[in-house]
Amino acid sequence: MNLQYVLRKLAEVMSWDDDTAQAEFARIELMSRMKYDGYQDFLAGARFSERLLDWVQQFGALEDRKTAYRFVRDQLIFISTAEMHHLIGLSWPEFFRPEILRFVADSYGIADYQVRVHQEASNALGKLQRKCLFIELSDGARIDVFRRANPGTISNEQIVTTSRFNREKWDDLLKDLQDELGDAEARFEFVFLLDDFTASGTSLLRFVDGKWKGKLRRFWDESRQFAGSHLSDDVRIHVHHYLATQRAREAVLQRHAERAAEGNWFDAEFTFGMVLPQSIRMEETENADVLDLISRHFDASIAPEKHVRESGCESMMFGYGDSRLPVILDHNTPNNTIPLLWATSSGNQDVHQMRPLFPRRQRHDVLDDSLDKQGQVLNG
Amino acid sequence: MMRNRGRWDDCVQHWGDAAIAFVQDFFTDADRKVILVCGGGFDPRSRIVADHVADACAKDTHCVILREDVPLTDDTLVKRADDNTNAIQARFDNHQVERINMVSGDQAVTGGRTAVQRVQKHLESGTTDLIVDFSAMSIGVAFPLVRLLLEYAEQKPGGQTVNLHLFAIDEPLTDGAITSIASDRATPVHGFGGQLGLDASRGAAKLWLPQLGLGESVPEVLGRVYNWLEPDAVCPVIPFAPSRPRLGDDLIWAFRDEFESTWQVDSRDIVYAHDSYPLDLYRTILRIDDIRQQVFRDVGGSMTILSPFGRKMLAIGAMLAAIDRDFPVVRSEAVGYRMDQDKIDDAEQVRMVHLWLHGEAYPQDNSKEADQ
Amino acid sequence: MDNPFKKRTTEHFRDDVAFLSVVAPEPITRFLEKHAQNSDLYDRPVVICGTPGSGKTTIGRTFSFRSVQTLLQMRGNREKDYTELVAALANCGVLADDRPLILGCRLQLESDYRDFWECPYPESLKAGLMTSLLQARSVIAWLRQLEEAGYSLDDVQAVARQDAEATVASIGGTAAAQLLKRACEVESALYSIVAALLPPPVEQLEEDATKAYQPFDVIEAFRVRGDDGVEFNLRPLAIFDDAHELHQEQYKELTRWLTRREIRVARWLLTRLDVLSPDEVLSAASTDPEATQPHTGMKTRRELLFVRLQGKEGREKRKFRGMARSMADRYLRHISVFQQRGITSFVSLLEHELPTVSDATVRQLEDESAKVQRRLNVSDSRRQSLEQSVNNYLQSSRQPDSDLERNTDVFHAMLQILMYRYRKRTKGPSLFPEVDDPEPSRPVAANAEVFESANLVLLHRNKRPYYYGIDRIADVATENAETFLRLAGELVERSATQLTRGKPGLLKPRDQNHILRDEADRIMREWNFPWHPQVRHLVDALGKRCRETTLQPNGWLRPNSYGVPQEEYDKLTASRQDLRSVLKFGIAWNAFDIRPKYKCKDRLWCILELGGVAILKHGLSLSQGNFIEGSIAELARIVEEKP
Repeated sequence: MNLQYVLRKLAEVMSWDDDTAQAEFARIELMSRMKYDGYQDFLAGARFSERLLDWVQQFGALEDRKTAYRFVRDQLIFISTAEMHHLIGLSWPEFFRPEILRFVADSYGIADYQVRVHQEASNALGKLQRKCLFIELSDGARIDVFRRANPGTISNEQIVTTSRFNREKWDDLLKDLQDELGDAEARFEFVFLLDDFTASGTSLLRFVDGKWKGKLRRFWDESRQFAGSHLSDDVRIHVHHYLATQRAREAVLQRHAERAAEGNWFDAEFTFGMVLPQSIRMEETENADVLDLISRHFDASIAPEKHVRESGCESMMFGYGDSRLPVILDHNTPNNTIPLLWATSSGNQDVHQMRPLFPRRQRHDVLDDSLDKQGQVLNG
Repeated sequence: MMRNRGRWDDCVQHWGDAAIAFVQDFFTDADRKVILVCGGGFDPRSRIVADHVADACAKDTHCVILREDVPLTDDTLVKRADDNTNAIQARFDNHQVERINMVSGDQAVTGGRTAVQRVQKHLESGTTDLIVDFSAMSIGVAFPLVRLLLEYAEQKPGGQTVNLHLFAIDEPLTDGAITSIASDRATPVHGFGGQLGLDASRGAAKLWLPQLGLGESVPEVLGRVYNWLEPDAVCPVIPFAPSRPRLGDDLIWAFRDEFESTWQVDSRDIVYAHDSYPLDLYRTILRIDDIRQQVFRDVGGSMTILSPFGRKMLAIGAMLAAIDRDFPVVRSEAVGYRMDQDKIDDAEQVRMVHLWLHGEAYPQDNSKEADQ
Repeated sequence: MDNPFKKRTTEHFRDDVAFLSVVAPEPITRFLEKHAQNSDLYDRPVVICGTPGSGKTTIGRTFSFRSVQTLLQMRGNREKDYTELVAALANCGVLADDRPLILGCRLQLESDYRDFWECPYPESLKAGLMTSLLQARSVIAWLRQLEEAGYSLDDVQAVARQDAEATVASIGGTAAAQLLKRACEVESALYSIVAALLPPPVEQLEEDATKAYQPFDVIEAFRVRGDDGVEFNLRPLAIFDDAHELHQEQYKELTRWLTRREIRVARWLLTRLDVLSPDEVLSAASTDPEATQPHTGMKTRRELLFVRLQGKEGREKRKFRGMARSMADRYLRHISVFQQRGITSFVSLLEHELPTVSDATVRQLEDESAKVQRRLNVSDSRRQSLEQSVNNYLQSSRQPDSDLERNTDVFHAMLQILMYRYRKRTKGPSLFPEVDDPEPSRPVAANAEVFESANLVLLHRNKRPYYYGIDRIADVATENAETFLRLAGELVERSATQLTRGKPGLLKPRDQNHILRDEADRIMREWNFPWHPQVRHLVDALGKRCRETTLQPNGWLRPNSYGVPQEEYDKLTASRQDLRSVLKFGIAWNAFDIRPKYKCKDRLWCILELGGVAILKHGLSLSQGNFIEGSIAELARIVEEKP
């Protein structure tokens, strides 16, 4: 659709005067081009500006439209493909390799800075790089991008593009490793678990109804049988998220410690490419108008009640687990983000029909354990 | 595409407590003979590194404090600089303050040239370690200084291996609290002219990587560099700052006229760089240069030009790339500073960073290849 | 939206064709043509001087061979008309018929040259290194441009001065390829000196760098054989841009060197005023052609030609208006929103008629006039005669907005001013107005000044637009193309917004006024150059004073300037270093201008005229002449205040 036409309509809907229209047209045009139009679920002919025009019209009152527009303009955090790829590219050189290097230094009883000039340690470091296994915890981890960002360092045979795989795959991986190193005794020494985003840490590890659940528990359940055979006895597990909230980081570390205290668990290193500060959460004190708008334009039917309850709060109104995030990822919107931005509902005469700005692909429900077991959990 | 290895791809780095532990462990060795070059600046970060070095090896260290005299600077900042300089002097028996006039009477920025000449006099044989504290130095001084010390260390004076360490305090809020009054001309940083303007490079496609910063006059100041360089393409460097997730968007908006009309920047032209990891930008710049060298190999070559601005960690990344590949670095240097006191007092997380640039940590048979 | 106005300077049009399509011929005709007629442009060194954005570099680039060559190729282009530009260049002797006559190259005097000054060498050596590098780069630029234009170096030959045979060998001979080779060797050797972290000791300098190299003394012309086999001569012209980046002493050396008799090459220096020390800037701001150039000690007329890209008189102002208009039209054609709608004229975007004043406003103004009349005890008959005077003026004046219907507000504002003036000239209100209607000491009548005062009062009190229409927009740019483009660019963007909204693109005076004033405020906030906080503070302080005076009820003065007695100004000594620097950078960056030796009230004044941006921001008059009388001490005090 002609951008000029959409902008004209938007100015009408928003009742902008010329001063405002001039500034906002420039902003919409620029930000769409530089970032928002890259949202992967937009279709041709209905990208950001068209979506925005549709989205603001769901609010009847002009004041509400203005509040909604301001919220998007001033608070939305959109992580573009380029930004996410950049965070992926940081993982190996800034997080993984230093850990391996420290490990080698410790093994040889030398300082980390001596590794490069210590012949044996240096050789060991080279081999150890091959003894790393990289597993993605969700397709958001884009492990192919991770591999391409480190050409010549990480081979295809160290990469697992699914979080769940069978013994046959384990055997293949080990055989490739042993063949390449010419060492029949070789085992994987490091396992790196990769994921794109964690908002609350729930899908990674949570304690529900007296049981531990989540991707970490599942990984542990399924892979510990390979310790000693495929993985070395003292394999090191490293969990890395490209992006996390401050809240998720704290929760993950705490739950991991709690689980570890119960015994029969593993040591792990947790790292995060970028941690979003607590201040991005839409708190009542600073966002009363937006939160009020949200509460008046919510359709509870967007999420089954049971699952909402399991998240530990009463409503999905402000996002899963009451996360209250204004975060959009280039390839999909997390359910922790305020649903007003992503939810679609049919509504009825008493309930508002929600129309999304960034439509979210609803592939499953977060706390549905059966689905969870299939490893399709997105965010949460 | 597989890229050429950069000299500092696998540079020894330490962060925070590990950096402090390194200083305490490494420099307490009685055989070390150290020259520490640091800035006696108004920057609250001025003293931190010197204090740690003094704790470890005050009596074996010759401390050279560069006091950058910048004419148009608030009195309160000058007073702070005096206090910091005095405090650093008090920590070392063997110290020397070198006052550097950053700007000459005709407003030409001459500080970098003066600084290297002054520091060179202090380089004495028998030194085992050179330390540059980047924290409170301006880019115009720090860049040529690091290059000078690196060239010195590479010569193995007296047949001896000399280590070069770079330290800095990573504290983004402080960077944001300092605003500068820009010189009205764009110039290459001293010693970082590359092949700019030479007939030999006339056909090279010029790619400019300006680092964007916030502040009402920043586009105007970077525009000065753009006018002077007349690059063929622009890829703006946008800091990725966890503390401010919307910084990138704010920068895009702040530079809207440049993006849309003057520089004609596309979303794919943006270079993101994490503002806590100097080698991130370093690697990215090298990768871009590799690709362009290949593309323009037969049609006049490619020249990558950098314009670091503000944030220290990113400036370090740009400097290392510039030294590694002899890229020109062009800036409109500061001729004055002002500081937002409120922002300084807000400063919380201060983290020390150590980068070991040259010396015994690397195989010596090929000193220019860090850990091949 | 890609808005070419936001490129501001024409230099941002990287492509030569695009660049030439926006170059207006007016500055060339206006500033250079007359000097070309007596061949001053190419025989003597020319110093072209102006503030940033005044168009120096555009001139330099237009005169470069590359542009001339492109222009010659583009002449047949039917879409764009280059006739005027070609004619302007032809009148300047740059081209004739289908051939170029001048081989111009523009070199930026970047820090490479300034850096020689910092090397620990004898001054004569430093100067020699600088001029060698300039010459080497000029030779390279001339020959490379010929190559780019498709000439083989085999077909190019330097024509040496007759008595220069002995020195021809030192520049590599007259064959172009050899000449170029030698120039590259010299460039490389010299560059390695300035680019070194530590300067090499004198005794280690390469021979290529120090051996005599004076191509400017040898080369008179280049003989070129064209595709058609016809040979023709090109006169080399070296244009050294941004000469203010040199050290003062280098600048002196360079101008001295350029005036040497031996030099055959045409040579221009483009510079901002502030290459000079503050004192010198302040005196050079005078355009007196006979003035001794303080920085060189040379008499201008005889040894070098001094061209300032700014005129003072009204006539010059009008010329700039024409130039601005033509420039804006050229830029506008590059924007698709306008292109699609066939809008090609910038003026057509600007409405110049104000709406009729609302009844409510009329009633309010009537009340005010009545109050003033009562307060000042002005008799009804006296008021009537004053009203008559206002009406007469409005009807007879040729002000573009003097329509009576739309000027009810102006009528009242003028009337009120006249009543105050009347009362002042009768020594205050009488106790017995009914019986006392004294004649004023001097007649009180409406005129252009009262009209302007009324307009400015209404601007501040009733938000009546004042800054609108092409002429005023051009005038506030104070002859600075960059400022004009920036201001016009905002208007263009607004017009585009209106078109996008499906409304007409025509901008109401009210919108023009506020867009321009907002932009002025933004420009000042974005200032960042040495001393800018103090410059801004001074401009704001003076602007505020001017505004207060403008709003005096008798509308006596509409100042936009500040005057200090010339004798005080002449004694501006080293003790006022800060003030001198503030003035220097303020002038260099167009914040204000200096007009020395202005005669007023039997006294000589030095006038600090606020720049257009400051005038806009503070809502002041655009006319020259009124200033606030002040002192150096007061200026110094303002500068010392913490901005």
